[in-house]
Order: sequence, then structure tokens, then C-alpha cells
Amino acid sequence: MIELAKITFPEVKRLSDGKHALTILPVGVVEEHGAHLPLGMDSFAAEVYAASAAPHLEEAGYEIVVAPTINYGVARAAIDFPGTLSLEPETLRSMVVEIGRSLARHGLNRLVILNGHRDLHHMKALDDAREILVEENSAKVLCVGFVSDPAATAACYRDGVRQFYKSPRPTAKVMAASRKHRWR
Amino acid sequence: MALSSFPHLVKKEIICQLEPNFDYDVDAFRNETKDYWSISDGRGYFGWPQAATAETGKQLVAVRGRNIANVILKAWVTRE
Repeated sequence: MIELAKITFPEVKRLSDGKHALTILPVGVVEEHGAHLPLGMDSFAAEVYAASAAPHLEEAGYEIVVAPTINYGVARAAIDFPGTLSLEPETLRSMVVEIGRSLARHGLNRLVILNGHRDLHHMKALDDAREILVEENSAKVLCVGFVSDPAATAACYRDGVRQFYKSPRPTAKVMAASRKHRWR
Repeated sequence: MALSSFPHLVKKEIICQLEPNFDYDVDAFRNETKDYWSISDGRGYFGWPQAATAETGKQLVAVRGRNIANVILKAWVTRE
């Protein structure tokens, strides 16, 4: 796995000429996740999952390039929590499109947008960016992680995960501690 | 996964003070018809923080990384 920000321009040329480069763009947000977790949780998660996916993709013959993370996103729903920052969806869309165009200009035209933040407007902005890049033939683009299609999100984040939880549903004791249960 | 991947950023001394929170409107959460403050009653988290372990987080990262790679490979094989 190669971090784009840590290599030189001749190395990018080599990657481009090799025709096997696949660029992952992690996308997160600055948003609260409870008093125990950092505001950058979703950005860090996207980076961790990119690093975890990379060896599998390299085994398949790709050279994995990880672009610098987009640490800002759309987080209107949590904006009342101190520290949460939110972009307008159009701003996020533009950022991704312009990054994708720049990558493609230099021959890195296979782009995976790996999103760690679940927000409908945020995910729609990423979908729109993908569509723009594909329509203008700038790059082959795929959105993974949290995406608008729930089945696609499940394929990334839920498949094979439930087995790690000792109790897939909260116990009666836990539920009692949770004040007004409306779990459905 | 935070306990596994960036434990230095997790406030472990706070986790023990956090009650499980399964008290929320699932549809409002999924459809974002209410803001997070009102859905979570100002707590800002859902689920059961005290049940989290670094080992489970490590396994989650491994499985999800493989899942993501599989989704990419499936899409790319189809397209290329």
C-alpha cells in the first residue's frame, strides 16, 4: 500500500505507467460519536478499512494507492454537538470530483471512494460525485463503505460481522438500563 | 474498532460511566428525520460501549477489510 502524499511525482508516473494502480480515497467527517470517542472517528475508520482491504486487492494484482483522507463531510444531523463540523453537500461533491479529475489527469483513473460516515446527504454527495466522474469519462469510480444503497453498505460492513458479538441483541439487564426502549 | 485501531484516542475512563443506549427511534435514525441530539437524548452514541473490546474490533476490521476488497474486486471484474 502506497500513501500518495508520501511519494514523489516520478513514483506516480511509474504507478500510472504500470496500469495496475487503484486509488482509494478515504472520506470521513468531524462529528461527535459520544463522550468517549474522538470527533475524527469516521475518518480514522475509513483509513483503517482502506489499510485492511489493501492486501486483498494487492493479492489480486492491483497496486494500491491511498490518497489523503477527506476529513470533512456533511454532518447536519449532529451539528448541535460541540465540535461537529459540516460542509454543504455540494462542497463535498465538488471536492471529490476535483480530486478524481486530478488523479485521472495523472493516469490514476481507477478510484474507490471509501466512506466511513453514515449520513444520507453525505452519501448522496459521494454518489453524485461518482456519477459526474463516470459520465465525463474521467475515471472508473466505485463508492464503498457507507453508501446510499443499504445492500451495498451491508456487503461492506455487516456481512460476517454478527458472529463476533456474543449477544446479537441486548440482554434484559441491558435493556432495563436503557431508559425508554423503542428497539424494533 | 477504536479500541483496536486507535486506543490512545478512546476515553476509557468515560466508557465505564456510559449506560447502554438502545433507546432510540430506529426509523428516525436511519432516515434522519430527527437530529442526533434528540434521538440520542444528548448522549451522542447508540449501543453498548462497555461491551466493546479491542479483540472484537480487530476482528471487525479484518472482516470488513476483506468485505470491502471483495466488493471492489467484484465490481471491477465486471467492469474491466
